[in-house]
Amino acid sequence: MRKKGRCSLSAHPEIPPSVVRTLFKQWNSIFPTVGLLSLAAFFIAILSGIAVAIPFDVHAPYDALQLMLLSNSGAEFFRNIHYWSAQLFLIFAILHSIEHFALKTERKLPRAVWLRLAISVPFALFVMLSGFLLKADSEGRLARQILAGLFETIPAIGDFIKFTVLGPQNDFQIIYMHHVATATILVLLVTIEHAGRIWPDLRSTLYMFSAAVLLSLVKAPTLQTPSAPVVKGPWYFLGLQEILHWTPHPLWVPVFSVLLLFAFYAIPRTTERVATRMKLFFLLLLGFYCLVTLVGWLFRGANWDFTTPWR
Amino acid sequence: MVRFRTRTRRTFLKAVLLGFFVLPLRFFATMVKARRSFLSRSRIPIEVPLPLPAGISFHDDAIVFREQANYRIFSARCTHLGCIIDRTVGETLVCPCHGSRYSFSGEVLRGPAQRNLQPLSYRIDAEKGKMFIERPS
Repeated sequence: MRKKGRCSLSAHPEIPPSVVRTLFKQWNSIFPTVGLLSLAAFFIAILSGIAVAIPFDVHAPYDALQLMLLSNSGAEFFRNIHYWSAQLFLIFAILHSIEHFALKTERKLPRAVWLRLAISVPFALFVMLSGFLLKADSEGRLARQILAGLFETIPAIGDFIKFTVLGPQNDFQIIYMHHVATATILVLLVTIEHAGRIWPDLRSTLYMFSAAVLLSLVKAPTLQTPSAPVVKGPWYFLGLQEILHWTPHPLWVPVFSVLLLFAFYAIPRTTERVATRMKLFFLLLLGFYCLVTLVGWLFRGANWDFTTPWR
Repeated sequence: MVRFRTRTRRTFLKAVLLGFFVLPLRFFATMVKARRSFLSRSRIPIEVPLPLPAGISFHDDAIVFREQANYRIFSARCTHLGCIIDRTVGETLVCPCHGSRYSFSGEVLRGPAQRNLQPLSYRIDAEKGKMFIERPS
């Protein structure tokens, strides 16, 4: 008997066929579901993160990581796995949300479970971003300044949020605490509740581990030197960067993000017609975000001048 | 009647539960406010050794533009999102975060920033051979 609130991993015959649904069905017939893969990637990220946390020094994060990359090949291996499994977690979590919306299974989840899932979205993003900030290289420091600036734009409570999330300037203690404990534990609890299982299956874990190893061999995550002419954020931050470049009043970004989160939560609570329109809106927004991410990735050079990838 | 009572009790319990969450937050907010106020009172000025090179130089949170014996001093914080401006391109100051550009007199030349850089006051201590610049707010 399937538990109430458990993530549905099978196709539902009552749902009308669609291209996306067919794609997911075909994927599920060959590979483990994207939800299981996401869970497996998250677990690999947590386990490898424990190995990285041992030589990491929160008072000199950049130096500690440099030393790790130069002299400790074991720690470097785990850092690579940690980085790539986290990226895979985010990608498959996004795909899993699309899968839910395509199969209309979000309606089967109890209201409280869906609420906790919606709340965990910013926490999952923060787990990713805090890892990037903890590199404390020029990219990480810049991303921290941007995030702090965004919080400061929020009237009345902005400073309070900034201090709670990022801590004092040039101090990484609170970010580290949220990365290894607060945000990770919250996302883990919500994931376990949603998936209805604690451990990922062996097949998914092997797939994700192999993918992380392969990606580490192709492109190992490096630290950026302070003299680097082009400073960009992580790939999931590039779109936001581009949007901020075109937004003279950055307060709209946190306001719009909160509204999106409310809309995300509201999808299963609305009529099917409204829900379909909202899903279409989210899909278009995702497409737009991918487009601006590509612009930021390929067409932004030093000092925010437009450039071409072949230059 | 019974239903009304149950609802009242439930509402009361919810309010108590909310209070348990809100009170520590309120306490934390007050603590942060007090800490910030203490920090702003005990703000140490930026100390810059003299003589300074002609043109632009960056010092912590301040940008100094020296033209012979005249100084123009601005906050290095971009007025868009508060990022520290630490570079020039030609005759402009460039924010590394989103590419806002300012002239050497602190005026916005290109967005996304909308406001000019904040001018900072300073004093020169000739005996110590140092310039003391107020920190930006």
